Amino acid sequence: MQSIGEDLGPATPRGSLIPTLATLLIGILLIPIAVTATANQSEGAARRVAETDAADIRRAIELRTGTIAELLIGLRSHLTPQAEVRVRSFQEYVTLLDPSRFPAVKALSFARAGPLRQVVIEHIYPVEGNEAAIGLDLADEANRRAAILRARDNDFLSATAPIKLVQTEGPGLGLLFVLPIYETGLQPRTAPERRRAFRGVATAAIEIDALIGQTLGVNPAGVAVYDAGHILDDASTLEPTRIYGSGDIDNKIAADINVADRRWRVRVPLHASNRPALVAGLIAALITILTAFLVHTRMRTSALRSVEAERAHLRQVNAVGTRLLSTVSHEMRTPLAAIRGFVTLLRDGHLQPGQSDDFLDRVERNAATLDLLIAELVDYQRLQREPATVRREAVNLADVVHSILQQLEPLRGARDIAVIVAGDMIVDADPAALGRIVTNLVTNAMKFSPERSPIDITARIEGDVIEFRIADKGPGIPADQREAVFEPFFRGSAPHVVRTQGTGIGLAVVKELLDQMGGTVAVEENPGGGARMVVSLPRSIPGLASDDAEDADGAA
Amino acid sequence: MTTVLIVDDLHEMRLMVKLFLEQMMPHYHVVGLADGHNAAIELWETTRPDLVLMDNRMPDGTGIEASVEILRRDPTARIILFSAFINDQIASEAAAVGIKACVPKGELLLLSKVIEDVMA
Repeated sequence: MQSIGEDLGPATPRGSLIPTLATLLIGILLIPIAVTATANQSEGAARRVAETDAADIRRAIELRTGTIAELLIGLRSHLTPQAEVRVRSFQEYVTLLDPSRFPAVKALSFARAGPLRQVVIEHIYPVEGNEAAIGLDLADEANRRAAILRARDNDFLSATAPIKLVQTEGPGLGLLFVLPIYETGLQPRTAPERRRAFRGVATAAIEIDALIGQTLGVNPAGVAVYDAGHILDDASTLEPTRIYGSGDIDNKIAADINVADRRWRVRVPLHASNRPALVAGLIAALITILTAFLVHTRMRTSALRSVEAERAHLRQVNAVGTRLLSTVSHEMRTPLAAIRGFVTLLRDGHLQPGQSDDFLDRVERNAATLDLLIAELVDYQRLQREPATVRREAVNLADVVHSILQQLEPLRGARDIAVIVAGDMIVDADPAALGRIVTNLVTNAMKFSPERSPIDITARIEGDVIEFRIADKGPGIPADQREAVFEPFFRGSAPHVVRTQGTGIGLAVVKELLDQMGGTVAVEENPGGGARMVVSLPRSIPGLASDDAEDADGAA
Repeated sequence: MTTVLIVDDLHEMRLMVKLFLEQMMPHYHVVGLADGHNAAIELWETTRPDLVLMDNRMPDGTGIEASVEILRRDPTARIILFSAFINDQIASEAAAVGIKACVPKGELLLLSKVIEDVMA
């Protein structure tokens, strides 16, 4: 699932570091010709720059490890609702993940707490390359065991000391994130309770080079990261282990990071030096460093703002993914319960004449509802992926509308659906996408209007655009929600629509598909009450019409 | 004759349970159909049924909340939670407030057994 992704793109401090370091470098090259007495001032400025660099690197690492933590928390909450962790639940979760978004995570696993204090890996992802890990007792090694016990007794995310990962070649180090899983429904509050309720752990194997390298983009000279032990240890008594970069540990600007329950220390070199030089050089150096400092401060502020925005976005999409799982599982249970119930009545009930037809209709209708929910799930995945290439061909809108209405017939009930679409409404579109748009708009109108109220579908040509409208007699959509309805998972806030079935994906998919085809969708008030969805589609796609014409010529 | 109040926000579910009682448990008599938390409490007060079949997730409040109020008025009220989504947490919460049993929606045969047990 892309939604738990951690690709920061331009938000990483890398973007601000390179120009800043380049400018700084010029400043540094000028320093050797500055006089000693005033060079101390420039060293102060350089120190401040290095301090902000260290702080930026710290934030970026925190952000990335934070998203990995969220990945594990998501896995845990997906595994815990059932009494028993099944391979299917694990598979369900990992199939939603997009591994390319987590280059530093080499494996995710569920390890079960067993007898004899074992914690044995039962499910792992990806399986390929990790076959040997299945059945491995994580608790049979002191470092891993310590992390598991800290996680278990404190109900927090813990991390091992640096380890050699089996998944990586070369000298690079890794670490294991460990999140405890307790018995369903229990919220143990003390260490003894947690030990009793302990069921196992969710783990992520992380490659440190990939984690930090991805953070910094390139390996900036002299930046080094050290593991300084467990946060509860006395740092002063420990010899920090270098886990990334090179260079010696002295005379550098440092920032401490908490990575799960371990402390890392980032060290950034201070490039200033004190050599005698000319006054002109000093002035140039000061101006350059001041510029670097100002540029850096400004870029850092904007980088931080985008890091914050990205983080907020990640939280949001992560929450969306979690909500999808709970919404869909809940929404699917209701029609399924109706199907099972009416099948029981058909089989075992003392039916009145004609009732069996009614019950069969209800089974069919609920099966159709389930079908739509599954289609919405597929739609959601589509939204999460790269935009698919939409086909363009001449499509007759009336044909699409009539064929979709035929498919939706079981759900129509007592509704009157009036279609006023001329037979010559040819539009240059992807037929499957257009079908999806019509399906989602019609089912949306059905969901949000009374069972016996009419739905009107009309279309007209407006110059180069075909405009079609789907109007219902439901409660309508308040003016302040008319944009939000096209966001994934938006559900109306009016009390009478809250319980309406659906996942809240349909309209977001409509908007996405129309974006891809150069069209638009908007909602307005239906004269006479209700909501009216207005879709505009170009009759021919700008910039493609000529290509199509050439293709057509070539084909002919 | 045992009187029953059915609580569910979805029309189709109320109908399903009502038909189920009429056709498969004929000595149970449906005295009320409530479509939410508030309606459940009002109808319970006017009908005082022997048994309540209670949905959980409803727009104006949960079935467990409605059960708390009903049991406050009559601690001997017999309520079965009949919900599409029952997990350990909901089941233990239901037991804690005094709901007699939880049955997943759609399991009508199980529901008939549980009703017999609860009313025995």
